[in-house]
Amino acid sequence: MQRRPFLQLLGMTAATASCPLAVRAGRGKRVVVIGAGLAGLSASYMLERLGYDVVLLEATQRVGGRVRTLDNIKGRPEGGANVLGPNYGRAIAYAKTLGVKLSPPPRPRGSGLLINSTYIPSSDWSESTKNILPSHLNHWMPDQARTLMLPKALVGSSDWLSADQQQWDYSALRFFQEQGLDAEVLDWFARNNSYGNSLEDTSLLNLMRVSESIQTAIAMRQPTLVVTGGNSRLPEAMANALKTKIVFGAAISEYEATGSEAIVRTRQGEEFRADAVLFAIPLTTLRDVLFQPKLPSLVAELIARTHYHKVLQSHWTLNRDNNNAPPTVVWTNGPLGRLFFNRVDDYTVHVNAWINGNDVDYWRALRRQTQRQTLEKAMAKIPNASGVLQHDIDMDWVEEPYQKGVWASWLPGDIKHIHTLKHAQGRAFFAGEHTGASYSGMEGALESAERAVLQIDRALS
Amino acid sequence: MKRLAVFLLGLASCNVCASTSDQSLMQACTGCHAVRASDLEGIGPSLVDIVNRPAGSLPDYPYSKALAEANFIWDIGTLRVWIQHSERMRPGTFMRYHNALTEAEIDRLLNLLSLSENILNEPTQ
Repeated sequence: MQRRPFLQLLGMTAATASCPLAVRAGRGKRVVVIGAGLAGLSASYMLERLGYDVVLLEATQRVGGRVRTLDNIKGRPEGGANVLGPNYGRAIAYAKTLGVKLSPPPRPRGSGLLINSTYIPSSDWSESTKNILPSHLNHWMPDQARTLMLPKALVGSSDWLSADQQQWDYSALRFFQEQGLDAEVLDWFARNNSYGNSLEDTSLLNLMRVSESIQTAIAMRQPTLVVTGGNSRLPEAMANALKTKIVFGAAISEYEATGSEAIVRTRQGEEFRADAVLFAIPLTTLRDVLFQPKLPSLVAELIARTHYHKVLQSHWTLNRDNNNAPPTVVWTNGPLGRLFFNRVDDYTVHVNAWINGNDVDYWRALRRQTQRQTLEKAMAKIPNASGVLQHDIDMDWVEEPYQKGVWASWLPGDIKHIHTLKHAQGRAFFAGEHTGASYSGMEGALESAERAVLQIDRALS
Repeated sequence: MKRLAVFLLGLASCNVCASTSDQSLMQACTGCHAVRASDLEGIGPSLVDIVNRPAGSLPDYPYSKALAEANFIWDIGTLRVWIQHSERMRPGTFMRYHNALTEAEIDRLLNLLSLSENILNEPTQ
């Protein structure tokens, strides 16, 4: 496909289509963008439309970053970013503009819990003897009960960043202990928590932020969406829409700014010069870049100390001799995390054991044979989940060299500082989901790109 | 050929053009909103002729209760407050937006929105 005419015809912007002679703010200026995840791709796309000369560097051999469809596995499961919220306006707009189809995910077929090897369908949960949640919450799943117990102090989507909410930025473990919860319930709340590797390291304020975000999305009464054929098709389409050719295998080790330009160097010693550099990479990778001049100490400390949330997805294919459907999701209080079952065809089900936080370390230390036995033992308890298991892949985000985790999980007390991570530092600019304000995840990455492009355009035009 | 046509039409219509800095300001809106009649529909309501339109008044748009029940007109004043903090102005709105623009940039953006007919609309064939 010819790229430029395609975009012109779609006419996403007024100025490029109808004002060919207008002086472009970016003309003659070069921006090096580091990281071809959603933030870097979106920033490159916007910068090109503003007339900048963009060089996009990517350390790996693929685009998308933490958006990663596992195309080699039957059923093409998502190894990374899962669903688009109905309010992910920027992501939905990119899909529409670039002709990428979105559709609602398959309808859930029911759910259950596996507690100390006993399977309980969700419909029986409130009456179950295993259910020791506080009585006013006992008809909810543990994750939902954890959310419902949170203080409701946030109104706006970015209120979590405001000074008057920082009183809530303390350990979620302390908060739940103060509610007088039983030790076992505290253990349930620590399991399958996506916002801290332990409950102690989880910020209560961050949990409140996520809860506010989910409540607003639910209020819209619109379906969540997935990309037809896999979420990776969206960043791939964004990459194809760029004029610049992405430089793959370029891992940045040094940044140096002089009075007149910025220089980045790769580990292989290659050098790129620009008027501005946009770092659209996770803090875990930014950590490995040597800055000259040095970053302000608070910024450097945040980059160094912020935890990234651990996720390991153990992907398996279940081959069966019957076509009855297992539940969509089973919540476990054991090392298997949450088990997601996705029907591929009549006799094949894809199984994803989605393991969170410090449980990842436990799982990784097990031999494959023990992992298999653990999973088989659990599956034997779950209705319609019997069959022959074949291991596909462990999508271990902690071991991914340029991610080392799935998203920033702010340590209690740090949220009041994190606005400094989006400040421009001379010719260096910063984007990525960790600098999102109203959104996290995929839309947070796109939101951050929009803000960073504005900063760059202010500085260079 | 098509590109040449676009170019010539551009010349004909471009008495006053949005500068690219203006374009970067508009990006604060265009992620979710159409700003010209020819734009693809976004998840937010169209901003074509937004100035002087009653809030929550586009037929068939699935507004939040907060905006469907609103009783005010979008003018420069209300739009300014909205851009600064939509979710405080109408709690419960579906527009999750964290403003990154300066006051002066908001003024310029509002000017662009109010002039959208003249500046942003694509020439018709």
